[in-house]
Amino acid sequence: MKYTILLLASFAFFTVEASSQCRSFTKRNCVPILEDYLQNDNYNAAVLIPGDEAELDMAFYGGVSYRIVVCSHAILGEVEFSLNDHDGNVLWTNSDGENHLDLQVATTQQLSVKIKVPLSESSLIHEGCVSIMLGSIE
Amino acid sequence: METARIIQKEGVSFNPENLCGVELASKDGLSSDHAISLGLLGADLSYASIYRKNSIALSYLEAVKTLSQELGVGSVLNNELIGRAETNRANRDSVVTLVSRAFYDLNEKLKSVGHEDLSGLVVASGWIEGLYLATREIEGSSDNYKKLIAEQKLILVDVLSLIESYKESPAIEGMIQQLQPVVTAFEGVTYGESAEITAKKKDGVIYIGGGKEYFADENTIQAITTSITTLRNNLVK
Repeated sequence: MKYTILLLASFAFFTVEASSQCRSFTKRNCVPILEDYLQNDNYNAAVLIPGDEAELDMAFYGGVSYRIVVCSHAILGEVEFSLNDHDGNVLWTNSDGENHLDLQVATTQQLSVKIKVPLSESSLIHEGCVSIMLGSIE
Repeated sequence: METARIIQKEGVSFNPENLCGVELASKDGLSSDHAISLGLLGADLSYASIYRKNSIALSYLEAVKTLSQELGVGSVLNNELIGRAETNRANRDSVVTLVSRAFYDLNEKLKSVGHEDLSGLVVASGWIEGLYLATREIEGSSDNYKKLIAEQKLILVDVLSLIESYKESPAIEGMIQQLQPVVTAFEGVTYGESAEITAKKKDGVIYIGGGKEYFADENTIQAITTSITTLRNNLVK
């Protein structure tokens, strides 16, 4: 199943309880990965299952240093994430299993982050939280 | 916060007269009115904290607390957070970090209680106030500063995309309508030929080159300034 989401938009397909667990997970496990980067105002997290894909468009200002964090429950396995230009060309992927990416753009532009939860061979469908965070630093 | 940082980076001085009055937080109104005020005052709070005007920032933090209570998400800005901001008032980075975290939590809380539309209004009005503040000091500014204003076209597209997803809400529909003159003004923004986007890794950082360069002539800058001023002043009425 593929979800396309817009900047700042929430994933609106999970229960209140799952939502609450996802918020706690994000605070405990994802915020620390930002380290000294100042988190932006936007909360983007969702409960996903194996095979799910999601996309988030983000605007980046030229000359600003950013950190994108994609963190997920271990039960989902190694979630793939990539950075793409507005034509969908892949600029970077977390082929080494990284959970964050530091970047700078020469000119202000919109890029998209795509995430893909790997398929599982388990007969049980596990669900887990995936959060996307953006931080910036002067 | 990012817009405020860009304004400061360009060497524009802080002018408290450009801010909304904190009394905006005490105005009666619907939840949507409070959400709009929260976005406006939140942008002012970011602006003041980026410029190290921490006494002013603290008064805006109190105003934001009042509005978040009106919206039922007051637990985010509790006395502990306000106390920490007061204790760290001499440290700009601490105040900026506290404000950023508080707005992240407010956004998350509004979404978690099913008020995505109000969260959208906070974002939209915050962007409006940020651009309003940026255009206050436009006279005699550098070409680079005008380019930064032109680049807000990208952010406007994002803001509209966000709020259009909640347009069954009358308040969101109203905001979209009110933004139309601003959309028209930004139609004057042009961009040069798009250079191929490239990515290079150095010292663990990915550098993205290429892309479009945005430009706005004097007439377009004037049209943006006029339209955003009218809209912002209507919102604070």
